[in-house]
Amino acid sequence: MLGLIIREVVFSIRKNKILLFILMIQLLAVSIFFRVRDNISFSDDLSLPNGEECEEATYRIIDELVGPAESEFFSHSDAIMRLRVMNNMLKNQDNFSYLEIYDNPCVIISPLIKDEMLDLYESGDTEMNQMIYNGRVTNEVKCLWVDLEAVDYYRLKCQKGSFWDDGNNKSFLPIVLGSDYKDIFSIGDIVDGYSPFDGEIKYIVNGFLEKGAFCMYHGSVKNLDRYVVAPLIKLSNEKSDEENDAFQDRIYHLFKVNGVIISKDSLQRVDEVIKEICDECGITPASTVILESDTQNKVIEQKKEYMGNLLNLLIVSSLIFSIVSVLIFPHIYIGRNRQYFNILWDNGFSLLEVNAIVCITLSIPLILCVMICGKMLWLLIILLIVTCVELRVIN
Amino acid sequence: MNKEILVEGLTKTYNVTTNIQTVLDNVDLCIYKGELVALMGASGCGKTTLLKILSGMSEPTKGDVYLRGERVDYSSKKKRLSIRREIVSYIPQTYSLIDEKTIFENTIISVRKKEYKENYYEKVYDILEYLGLDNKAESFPPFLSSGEKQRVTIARALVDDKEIILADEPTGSLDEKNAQNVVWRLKSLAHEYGKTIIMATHDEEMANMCDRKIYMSYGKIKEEK
Repeated sequence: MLGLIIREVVFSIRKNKILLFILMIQLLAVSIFFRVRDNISFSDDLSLPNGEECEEATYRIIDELVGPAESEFFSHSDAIMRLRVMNNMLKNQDNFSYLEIYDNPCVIISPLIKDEMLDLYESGDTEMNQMIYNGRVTNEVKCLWVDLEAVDYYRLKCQKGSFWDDGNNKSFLPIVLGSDYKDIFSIGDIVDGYSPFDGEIKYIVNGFLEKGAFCMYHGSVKNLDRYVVAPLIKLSNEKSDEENDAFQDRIYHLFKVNGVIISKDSLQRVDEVIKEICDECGITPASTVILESDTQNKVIEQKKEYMGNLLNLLIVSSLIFSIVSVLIFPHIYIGRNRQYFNILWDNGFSLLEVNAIVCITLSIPLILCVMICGKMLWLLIILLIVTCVELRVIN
Repeated sequence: MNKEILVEGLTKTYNVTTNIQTVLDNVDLCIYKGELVALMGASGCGKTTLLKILSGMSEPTKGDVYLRGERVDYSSKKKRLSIRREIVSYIPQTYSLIDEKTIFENTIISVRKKEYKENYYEKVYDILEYLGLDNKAESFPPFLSSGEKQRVTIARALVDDKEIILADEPTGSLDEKNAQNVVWRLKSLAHEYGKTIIMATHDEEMANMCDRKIYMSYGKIKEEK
């Protein structure tokens, strides 16, 4: 009898060509929705403020001190001093806020570091990030160098521990780790490593970020779960004359002048100000300002997410409709077909058996439907709530 | 010759309000193995009732039925059902085909025997080929002639490979040519495969093609030829 039931279920699905057509359309729609959702992109132009005044936007400074320009600039004995002055001027501007933030790997010495934490994990070159030096495993891990203004601006919070404060001791470099590091280190751990500014150094684990912590950096959302967040502080003497230290000094000060600007001024206005600062500091060629508009990017990201959720809703609704159509409606036909009853009765099936066959062929898809649709409905409700919340946030 | 169907003193009465209506009155019958017997008579003479009792769809008021030498026990529904499950195939007056299923699917619609798992499809196709329906296996009933439809119901009766086939006016709605074709198939089934077949009909011409004719009138066997 089970074989007969399975045969009938398969038959009813196979034979309902209109429903199969609907299913095909739905599946097509679902795949299109998925594709659209994965490729929602907004033109960069959308994020460009055109007027003199715009909503608070984020601008990125990129120095042009590369190649011969770099050699020329650092041939001046007061080059570091000029960069330091530029950094001070940037920080003391009235018409914009300046955040020190720079994404650059640091080295942590530990055999426990996972590949995902390595700087080149995404590009697949993790072997370049790991080496054994003096019998110890050195790992070049993802690291975001920030000042506390950047921590505040991006609302980075520790789930455990806390960020450093300005009065931290100068023996260890305090770091806050992404949530993925929780299994590896604990608060208060002293970790050996290297920093690009100080060379060999000891880090102290000050805290762990919340799971899913992120910040906007150079136009994209950066998930910090696998990141080390370190202060843009140089522990060693900043005025060292040794050649190696001088090189580390250069890096340190270049990091400090390549941060981001939060301003309500337009790109042109900010660019003018930066050029004025550069001229004043004697940094030629002047630094270039590139608009990033973090605030707008955030809105765009929210819109993307909102659109994505809307598409998710469409996908889930389509799937529910398809499943209900394909599984339930064909079986109504079996239940209503008197001929089917007669044939089975003529061939020695009892009334109980005939009823059981019809009931089971109806109930199996119904149960499947309830199970699948129930799960999907739950997802649908969650998506609806999330979408409503996002809509309110956007508005 | 083996007495495949033996009916002794079969009586069937219905209580209609206070009246007792006798549909079969003390019927005696003997059908041998491999015989195609035409059960003749006017409408309402009791042909269908007799076939229904023989197939276990109905129980007699009095009398005994022996199928393949064994007395049929009508005391429970289960035992009556076992007749159609194990011994008797019943071909109804109407085609009883499901338009949405192919001929092949209509043929196997009620199959549940485990042995059909092996060479299952081959066996079904052999039956369809025997009945001249092999090229229609994937067609749907609306595209078949009435004769072909009736042959599908015969095919369904053969799929279970039962020894006794009871056909209730299988040619009733067919034209002469198709009716002859159906009877010819039934006859070859009886003669080539040893099936015992009772075919209820009121068509004299079709009955003439059978091995034997049994005439019924008002619930009694009148004559055998």
